[in-house]
Amino acid sequence: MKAVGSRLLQLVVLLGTISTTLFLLLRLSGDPAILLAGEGASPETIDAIRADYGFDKSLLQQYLMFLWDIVRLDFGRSLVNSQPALGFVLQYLPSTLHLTFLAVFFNSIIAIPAGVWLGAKPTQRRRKILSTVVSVAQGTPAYVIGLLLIQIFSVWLGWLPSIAGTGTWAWVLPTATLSFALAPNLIRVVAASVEDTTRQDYYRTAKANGAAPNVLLIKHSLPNALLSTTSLLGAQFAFLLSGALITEYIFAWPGLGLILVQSITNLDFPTIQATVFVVAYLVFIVNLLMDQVFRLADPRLRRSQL
Amino acid sequence: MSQELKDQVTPITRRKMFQSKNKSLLTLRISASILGFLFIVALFQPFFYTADPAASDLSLRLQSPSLGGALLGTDALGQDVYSRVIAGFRWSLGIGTVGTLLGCFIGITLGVSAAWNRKRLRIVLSRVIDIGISFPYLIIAVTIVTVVGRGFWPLALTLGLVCWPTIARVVYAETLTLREREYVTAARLFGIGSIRSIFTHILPALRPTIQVVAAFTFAELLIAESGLSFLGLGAPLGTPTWGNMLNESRLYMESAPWMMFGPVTAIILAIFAANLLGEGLNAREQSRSTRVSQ
Amino acid sequence: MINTMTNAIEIKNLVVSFPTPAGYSAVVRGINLTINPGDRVAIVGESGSGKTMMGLSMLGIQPTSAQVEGEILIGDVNMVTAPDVVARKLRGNYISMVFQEPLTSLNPVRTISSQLSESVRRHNSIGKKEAEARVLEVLTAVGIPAPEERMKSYPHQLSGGLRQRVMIALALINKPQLVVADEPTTALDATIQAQILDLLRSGMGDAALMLITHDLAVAADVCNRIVVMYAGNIVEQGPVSEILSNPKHPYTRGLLSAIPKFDQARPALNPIPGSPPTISEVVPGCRFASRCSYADSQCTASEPEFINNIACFHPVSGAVK
Repeated sequence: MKAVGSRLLQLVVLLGTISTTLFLLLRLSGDPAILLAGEGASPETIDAIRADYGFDKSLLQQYLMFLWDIVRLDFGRSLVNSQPALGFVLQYLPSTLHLTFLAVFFNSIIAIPAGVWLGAKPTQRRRKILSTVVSVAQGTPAYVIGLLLIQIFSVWLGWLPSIAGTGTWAWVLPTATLSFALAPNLIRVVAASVEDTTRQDYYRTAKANGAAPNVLLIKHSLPNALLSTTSLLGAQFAFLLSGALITEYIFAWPGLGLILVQSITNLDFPTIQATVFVVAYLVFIVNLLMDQVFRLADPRLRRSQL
Repeated sequence: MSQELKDQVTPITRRKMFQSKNKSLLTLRISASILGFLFIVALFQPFFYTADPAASDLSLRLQSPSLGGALLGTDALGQDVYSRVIAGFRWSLGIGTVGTLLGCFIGITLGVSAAWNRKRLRIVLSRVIDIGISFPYLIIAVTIVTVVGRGFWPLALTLGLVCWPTIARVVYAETLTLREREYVTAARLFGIGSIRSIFTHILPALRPTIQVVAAFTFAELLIAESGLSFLGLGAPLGTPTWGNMLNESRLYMESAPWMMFGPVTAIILAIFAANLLGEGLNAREQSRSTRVSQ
Repeated sequence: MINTMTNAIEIKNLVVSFPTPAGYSAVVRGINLTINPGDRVAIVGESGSGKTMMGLSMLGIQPTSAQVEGEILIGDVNMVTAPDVVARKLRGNYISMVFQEPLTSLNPVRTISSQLSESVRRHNSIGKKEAEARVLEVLTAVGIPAPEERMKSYPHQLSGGLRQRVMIALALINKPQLVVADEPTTALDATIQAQILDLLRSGMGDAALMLITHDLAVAADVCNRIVVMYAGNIVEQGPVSEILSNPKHPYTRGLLSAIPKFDQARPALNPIPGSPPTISEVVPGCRFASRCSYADSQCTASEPEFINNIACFHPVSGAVK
C-alpha cells in the first residue's frame, strides 16, 4: 500500500509540475486568449474567451481556478470540434492500447529469445553480433525505420498498406517499426542479465550439484534474469503508451500520439493538456502494475510488503 | 575440464590484450574524427555549399541526383538537397550541443546534490529524478515548444530542460559510490567543506562518467530534434533541417525517393558517430578501471 | 559406476593456470593429493595460495578462462578430461561443495525445498514426494529447527547460520563420498561459526571432508590431517598433531606463530613479513624464500621438491614457541 501511495504522490507532483509549467508558459507568452482563440479569430471571440476563461482576473486567481478545473478533470472544450477535451482524447486511447500491446508482444517474442541466446553463451562471435545489432539500431531513429519500411513494403513491393485503417494488415508496419526501435535495447538488457546470472554464486552452486546446461539456463538463469528485465519492459510499455508520437504520425495511426501532434499543430490547448494528463496517468498505472509484478515475482520483496 | 569448457578457453597473449586496448582507442579516434569533421562542416558551411540552400527555382523541382547538377537532387521547391543537408548540420549539431550542455548542468547539479546530502533533500531530489525518468520527456518537450515557439533557442533550451533525468540518475549513482571512497571520507573528517570537496574530489572523478553520458545524450537529442522537426513541431517550416527535409520528402516517396537519402544519411552518420564516441569513452573508462583493480 | 573406490579422490600433478598479459600463469602449480574415504583434510593457506581454485577444479567448475592440466581421479573418472555429461553426474552426487557466502550461493527466487529436491531428483530417479522426504530428512540431520516450515522459505528469510546449514544439507543430500567446504564459516558470526564447525566435524556421515581455510585453528579443530599450501604448491602436510607440535616448514611455523595465544599474558602476534609472489611473477627458487629467515643461496637457486611430506631444503624441528 505504501508503494501505491508513493507512486500516487509521484503522479500528483508530476501533474502539478506539468500543469503549473503550462499555466505559466501560456500566461507569460503573450495574451492567452489570442492563443486559445486561434489565429484569425475575431476580437469578439477573443473577448468572449477572455471572460469565459477568467483571463481578466489576477494571475493567482487564474491559477487557482486552473488547478480546480484540473482536479475536476475539466480541461475545457477542444477548440477544433468543441467536444469536452478529455472525452475527445479518450476516444483515441483504445487505438494506442492496441498498437502498444502488439508492439510489446512482438518485441518480447523476438528480443527475449535473442537476448537469452546471446547471453547464455557469450562467445566472441555472439558478442560481435550483439554489438553490431545494437549500434546499428540505436543509430537509426524510428521515423527512418518507418519511412524505409514504407518505401520497401508499400511503395516498391506493394505488399502492405502504409496507412492505418486501410486493410487487415495495416498494423504490420507500425508494429514492425516500434519493435525495431525497442528490440535492440531489450536484447541488450536480457543478454546482459542472463550473462550476469552465469557469474552468480547460486549459478555455481547449481553447477556444483551437477545441473546440466539447459537446467542451469531454465531454472537458475532465466527466473533471475527476467526479473531484472521487467523494469525495462515496463519503461518501454510506458513509452509506447505515450503514443509513440512519430510512429503514429507516419502511419496515421489514430492514437494518442497522433492526436497530440494534431492538437499541437492546431494550437488546441485544452486537447494538448488532456492528452498529457492521460499519458501521465497511463504511465502511473503502468508503473504501479510493474511494482506489483515485481512484488509477485521476487520473493525478497514479498516480505517487505507486509 | 570438460571439452565444452575447454573450447571456450581462448588464450590471451600480451599482443591480444594490446590489440583490444588499441581497438577501443581506435573507436575513440574514428568517432572523434567523424564528429570533429561534422562540426567543421557545421561551422564553415558556406565552403561546402554547391548552391544557395534557400534559393528555389521551380523549373528545377524534383530533379534526380546528378553529378553535373544537384548532387543529391532537388526538392519540391527546386532547392538543392545537398546544400540544404549541409545547412542542417549547424541546426542539428548546434541544438544537440546546447541541449546537452544545459541537460548536463541540470543533471549534474541535481545528481550530485541528491547524492551528497544525507537528509531530506536526498529523498526529495531522488524522487524528482525518479519522476523525471518515468515520464517520456518528448511529450513535455513538444508541449513546451508549442507555447514558447519554434526557433533554434527555444528548441535547444527546451530539449536541455527535459533531457536531464538520465544524466542525473547516472551522476547520482556514481556520486554515491564516490562519496564513500576513503579520500572523500577523509576530506570530510578533516573538515573540508562540502562545496570544496565536491569541486576538488567529486567533479573531477565524475568527469569520465559524464563524458560518456553526455555523448549518448547528444545522440539522443539529435534523434529528438530531428524527430520533432519531422513531426512539424520543431524547426519553423521551410528551415533547412534534416527533420523538415524528411517530412517534406514523405509526400514524394513514389515520385522522388532520393529526397530521403541525403537527410537520412546525415542524421544516421551524426547519431552513429556520437554513439560510437560514447561507447569508445565507456570502453576506455572500463579498461582503465580494470587496470587499476589489477 | 564407482563402487570400488579405494580413494575418495586422487589428484595427480594438478596445474591450474589463467591467461594474463604475460601468457598463462599458474595459480595451482603441480599438486599431488589423495583423500581417503571418511578422511578429514584441511587445506590451509593464505588467500591467493590456489586452494579455492584447486577445490573448484576438483568438481570441474573452475572459471571458464582457467586451464586445468593433470589428473583428478574420482574412481576411474578423470574430472580434467571427462566430458561434461559424465562429470556432472558426479557433481553433487559423489563430490559436492559448500561455499563461503551462503546468501548469494542459494538461488534467491526459489524455495529451499525446490533447490534441494532439484538436486535429489537429478541424481536419483525418485518422485516428488520421496524427494521431499529426503529433503526433510537431511535438513533435520544438519540441525535445522522446524524443518517442515523452513523448507518452504526463501533463502533471504533464513539467518546466516541456517543458510549455511542449508548449504551443507545441499552438499550432503545425495550422500557424497567427498565434500569440499571452501571457507564455510568466514562469512558468519563467531558464535555461529562454532556451531557450523561442530556440524562439519560430526555431521558429515560417511563423507570425506576437504576443508579449505586460512585459519590453522579451524583446521586443527575439525580435521585430522593438514595440508599447507603456499603460492600454488603444497609445502607441508601431516596429521594435525604432528603439524601442531612439530611443524617443519618455516611457512607453517610462521602461520602457527601468527595465531594469537590467549593463554599467554601478553598475546604476541607475529605476522609473516612480506607477501607471497603474484601469480605472474617468475621465481626461480623456493617461492617462500623471500619471506623466509632460513633461506640461503640454495633456496633462491632451485625449487625444493615435495619429499617426505615437506618441500623445504632446511626443515626445522621442534615446537613453535
